[in-house]
Amino acid sequence: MTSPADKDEDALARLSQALAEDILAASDESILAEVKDDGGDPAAIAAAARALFEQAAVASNKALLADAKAAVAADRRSSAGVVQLDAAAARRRLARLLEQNPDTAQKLTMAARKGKPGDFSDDEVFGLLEDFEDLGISLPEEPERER
Amino acid sequence: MKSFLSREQIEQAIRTLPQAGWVRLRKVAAAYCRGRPSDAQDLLQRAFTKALDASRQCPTDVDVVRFLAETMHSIASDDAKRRRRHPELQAVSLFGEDGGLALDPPDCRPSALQVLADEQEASRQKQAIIGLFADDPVAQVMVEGSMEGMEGEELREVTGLTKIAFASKRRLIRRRVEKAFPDGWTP
Repeated sequence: MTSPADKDEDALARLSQALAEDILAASDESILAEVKDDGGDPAAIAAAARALFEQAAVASNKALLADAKAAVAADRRSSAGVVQLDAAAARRRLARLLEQNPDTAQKLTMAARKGKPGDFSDDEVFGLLEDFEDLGISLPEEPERER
Repeated sequence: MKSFLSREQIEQAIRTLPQAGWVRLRKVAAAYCRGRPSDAQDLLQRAFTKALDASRQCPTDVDVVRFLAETMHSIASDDAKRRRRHPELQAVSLFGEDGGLALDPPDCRPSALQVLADEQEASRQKQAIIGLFADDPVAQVMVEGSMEGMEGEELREVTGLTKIAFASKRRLIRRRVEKAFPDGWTP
């Protein structure tokens, strides 16, 4: 049910729309002249509105960048899933990574209390590969990804 | 098939608006600004954001200023609906004064007093605007007709004005309201 207050709100909203239509129908010249008649500065008003737009554009660009980063991260996770289809290839990749990154390998394998890829279960192999990926360490060539 | 401006196109179209375009947008924002919860600048900025993030898309055959004006109208309308559904949202603690969980938290709905105040405010604003035209019965009829939802030709016929006289009177009404409420309806 519409309350008396809602009716008044609706009435004000309809008047707002009529006023906005008149603003849109007015010529550029009369719009600028009105501002001057009111003692305003059209250039300052335009500059302030433009600044609002630039602020919105910066915020929007940041949001786009964040979306793009999220998409890349999702793509990486998806790529990792492809590797996991082949456990033997994953073991070969881990062996190469351990060999090429001895310091990191020592830390990661110490944490796992094991030394060679053959000592790990499949799950541990995939987990270590993810650890390397999280650290930003990858092989120069990754032939397994192409399989 | 309807086509829309791309993100780059809408950004370019807004950025290259002439001075009158920016001023027009600011005036439209003030016309749609209803005080709480946003002022005219906030309303305009939210419209820019919606245009840029494509939550509202500008058809290629629509003027970008009109598109942004309609976006502001939509935002203002949604705000008004939200206020009606949730007149005053208040943070309510689920814990009592003794630190324990309150089994009967305080009622966060608007009080009868708050509802009455809102009703009185809308009514007061409406009467204040109509009162601006106490010296001009034709303008008063047009204002009340606009508030009732009459528009264009229908309203002109009621007043008996020619097209030119009607447009002139409509401009007079807007200017008088703008001067009385430079930032929208907020008193």
